[in-house]
Amino acid sequence: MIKIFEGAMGTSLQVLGIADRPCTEYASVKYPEEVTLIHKGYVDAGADILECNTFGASPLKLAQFGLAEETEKINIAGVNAARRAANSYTEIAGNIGPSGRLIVPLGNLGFDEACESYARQIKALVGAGVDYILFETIIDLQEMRAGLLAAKAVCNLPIICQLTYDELGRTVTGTDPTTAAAVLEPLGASIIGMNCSLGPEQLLPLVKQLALATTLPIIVQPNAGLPIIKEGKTVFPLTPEEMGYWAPKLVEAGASIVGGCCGTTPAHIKVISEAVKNMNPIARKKLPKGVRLASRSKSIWLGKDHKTVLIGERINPSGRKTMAAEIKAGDFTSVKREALAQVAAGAGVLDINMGVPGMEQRELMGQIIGDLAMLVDVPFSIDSVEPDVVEAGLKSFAGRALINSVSDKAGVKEKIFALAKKYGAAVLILPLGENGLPKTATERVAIAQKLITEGKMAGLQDGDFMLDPLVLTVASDGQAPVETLKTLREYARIFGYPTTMGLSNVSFGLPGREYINAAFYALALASGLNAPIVNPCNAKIQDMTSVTDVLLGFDSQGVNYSKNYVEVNVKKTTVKVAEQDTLSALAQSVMNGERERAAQQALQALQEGYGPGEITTNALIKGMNVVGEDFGAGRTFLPQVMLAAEAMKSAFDALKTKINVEDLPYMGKVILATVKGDVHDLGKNIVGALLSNSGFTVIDLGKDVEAEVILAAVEKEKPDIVGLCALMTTTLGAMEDTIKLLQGKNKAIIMVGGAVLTQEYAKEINADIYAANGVQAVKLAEKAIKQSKE
Amino acid sequence: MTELGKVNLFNPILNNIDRAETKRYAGMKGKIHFPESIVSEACAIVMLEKHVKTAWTLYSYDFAAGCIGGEYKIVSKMLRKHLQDSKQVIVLAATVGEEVEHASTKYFEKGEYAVGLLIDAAATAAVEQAANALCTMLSGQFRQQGLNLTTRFSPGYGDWSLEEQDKVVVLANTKAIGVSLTNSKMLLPRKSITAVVGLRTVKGQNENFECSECAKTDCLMRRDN
Repeated sequence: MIKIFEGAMGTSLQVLGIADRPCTEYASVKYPEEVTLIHKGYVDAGADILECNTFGASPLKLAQFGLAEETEKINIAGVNAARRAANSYTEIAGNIGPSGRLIVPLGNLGFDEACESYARQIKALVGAGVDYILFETIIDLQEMRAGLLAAKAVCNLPIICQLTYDELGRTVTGTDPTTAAAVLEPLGASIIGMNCSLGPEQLLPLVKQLALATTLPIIVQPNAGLPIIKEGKTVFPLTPEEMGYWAPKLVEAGASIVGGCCGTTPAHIKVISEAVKNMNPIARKKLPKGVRLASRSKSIWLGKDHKTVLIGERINPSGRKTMAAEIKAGDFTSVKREALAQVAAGAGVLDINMGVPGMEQRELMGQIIGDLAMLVDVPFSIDSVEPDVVEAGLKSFAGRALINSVSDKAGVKEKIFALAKKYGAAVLILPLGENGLPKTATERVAIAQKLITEGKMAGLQDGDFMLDPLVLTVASDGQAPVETLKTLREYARIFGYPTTMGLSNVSFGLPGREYINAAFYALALASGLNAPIVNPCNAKIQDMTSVTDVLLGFDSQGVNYSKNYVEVNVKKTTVKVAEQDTLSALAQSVMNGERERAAQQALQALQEGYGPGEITTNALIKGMNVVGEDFGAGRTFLPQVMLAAEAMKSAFDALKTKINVEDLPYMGKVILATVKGDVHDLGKNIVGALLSNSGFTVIDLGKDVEAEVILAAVEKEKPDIVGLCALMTTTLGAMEDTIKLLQGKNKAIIMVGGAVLTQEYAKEINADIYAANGVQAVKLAEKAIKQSKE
Repeated sequence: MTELGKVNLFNPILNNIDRAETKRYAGMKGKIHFPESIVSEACAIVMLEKHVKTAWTLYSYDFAAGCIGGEYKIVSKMLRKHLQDSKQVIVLAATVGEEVEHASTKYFEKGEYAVGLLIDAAATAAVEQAANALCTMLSGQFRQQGLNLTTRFSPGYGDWSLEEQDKVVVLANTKAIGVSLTNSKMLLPRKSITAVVGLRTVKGQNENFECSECAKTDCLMRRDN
């Protein structure tokens, strides 16, 4: 039988004009009879479960109205108002909405603070006798996690988790229904689903998606369509009959509880109830076998029926001095770089180890997990055997993580299993006994069996375990890899759980390690390895993964594998350049922005007997002039000009290793500055780069430079040109002031430029040259120097 | 319900930098020969160096008086037109922090000009993405009340003078995300933006600010019509 939920409460209170005195929830205290009457309307319409008027009655939310102190009173009044309307069979759900703030790092609400606020509300609801805890209209998965954890901590009631999705099928912080299921089901939700924001038509595909991702009952509470405003009021346009049309479709898609959100009335609920009440929930497809991990926005399966997933091992400061030193100094640059690089290389999961000697790992783990989750969207494996470090990571991670790892160590394993259960994490079983490393597959399987049994007693289930077969060094024990492979096969035969292992230990102490690792990797995959812990940036690992995906049937007809091949071939293709003399070839390299080639050709030209002046004028400047002309004509763009300047620079740098700098053509000296009050660097930097590669000596005074500082530099350096830059209308005045100060005190030519400047304005403020862009600046500077010498 | 005049914080997740926008901000148009690896490098550096934060504050809007929150009287005709159907507005700010600027300068100093230039462009793309992410979030939130967001309108657009930035910074509560204003009314960190979006009941024709309405015809970022 399909259960029917109550429709909108806020909408009905608004109609009565008692929704804002001072808040909707306070109506239960001030106008209890009216609230009961609304509930009664829904009971009469066929609702099986009522939702208390407690949506915004968490202390965090009530604080907005100065009512936090009355949390208990308001929640109890809400439950009582519903109870008075109930029939003997009517159930009551304690309704809880979002706190109105986002949890760190998306916002500034602490995770524990959110949990505490929810816990207080839930205690009041439970005390007043509700039958369910209902979270609804939640827009952020991390807030749902906080609520669910709070509920589990204070009661044993069934917990309903409803998120709100947009038309693209994601919550505003990026979670889709499949990912929500992957996280909330193991975390202990009893019923999951969605409400608000969309109408039944838009929610239908999302219910279908959710039904393929969870074994839990599904609840759906659509709005009465997408809201419109009529005569200044928000109106939800769907009629009861229209809602009644969609309700059976929602059930056929997988919902077993149907209700209504904004804009629904007892009339809507009546029609919905009549349309679906006698339907039965559909038989749902079984979930795939394996372990599911998730980030906030993505979920993946690991196991024998799924493609090999690479677990990136690089975020580990053990044995990496630079990373360890950086972390100690509070700098996570290397960690972030490794995260981005590994994900770009195809890692499906990132292992995170914060084992920096002498550092308190607990806080560090919580912080880095939060930071990295803002950067990459893959699930994490929390690599620590310290329960408090693991807990900090699990709390901070808005997804379903893997705990790496648990071994047969009394006093620790119990805590790790409890944490996995509490936070809905998967756990990696490492078959290490109290007596150290077990040598044989039989011993390892026995320890794994024992740990799995204990894990299950702690509440974990089949989909929560991964197994490590242990990899030992072949150089010290010739049979070690054989036992590892045998263990993998035994794991697959006995448990069927996904497996993982660190590969590289096998080759320790031997030459050509990457060959051994690659071969071992292939053998292990054939023996049942599913998710190796590796360096995903390693080319051999990438190649082996893509090849074995084809051979193990995960890449049908090698489509993906072939793509890699095409890309490689494309990269190797180079355009053949017609035979030409070295100076022409060098000019061409400058035009193409080819740094290395330009440097080689410049040296070659010297060897062939060309002088520095000749090389500069007939190759470098010639090439740059073509680029400049193309730029002026709109055929080429600024980044290409900068690349050409880089090529020119590398040619000059190469020449300078063989000749005296004085032998290079000299055009003159330029002082550059962005004027006082202007903090833009880029335009000036571009001009500086181009001038310094065109024979000018450039002195860059930086940005936001006082007129007096510029004058002092001009008097000291006696430049041929002073280049001033201003990017904003608000700093043009400072440019004018600077020119006034410089005038009459030196002979330097004054050149100006910047986004908002015009020829006319330049003239008005008595600048000698106006350059519209960097290329023009070089041309005009050269021209002005030539003229001044004539 | 959102409290009027109270700042709200949101740090959006950016899993990538929009490469196409990065190229556009760097002044590249159409299909051109340019190493993608340089664009990738610049985007990767900005991914590492960005510190994304946004803040938003809701105000009432008096259309007849053109007044935001009873405090700020709009002088820009184009902004008033932009907000003509709105009874409330959101004043927002977004930043990616100052580290990206240092990175750009550092690459110029190393002689890697193209990367330096593209870091600046990628940082611009990132701050725009951050503001877009905020607007997407707000759009979802306010749609439940039957309200639609107009597009963003910032000081410097059309006839809304940059001189007004000091008032906008106060309305947007930029201090909450570490964004300040120089005496010359420039935002610091430089890769920051402030903007106003209107909340209105009609969806209607979008009032996107068109490049063709702007007098700066040689702007690198001007979109082709």
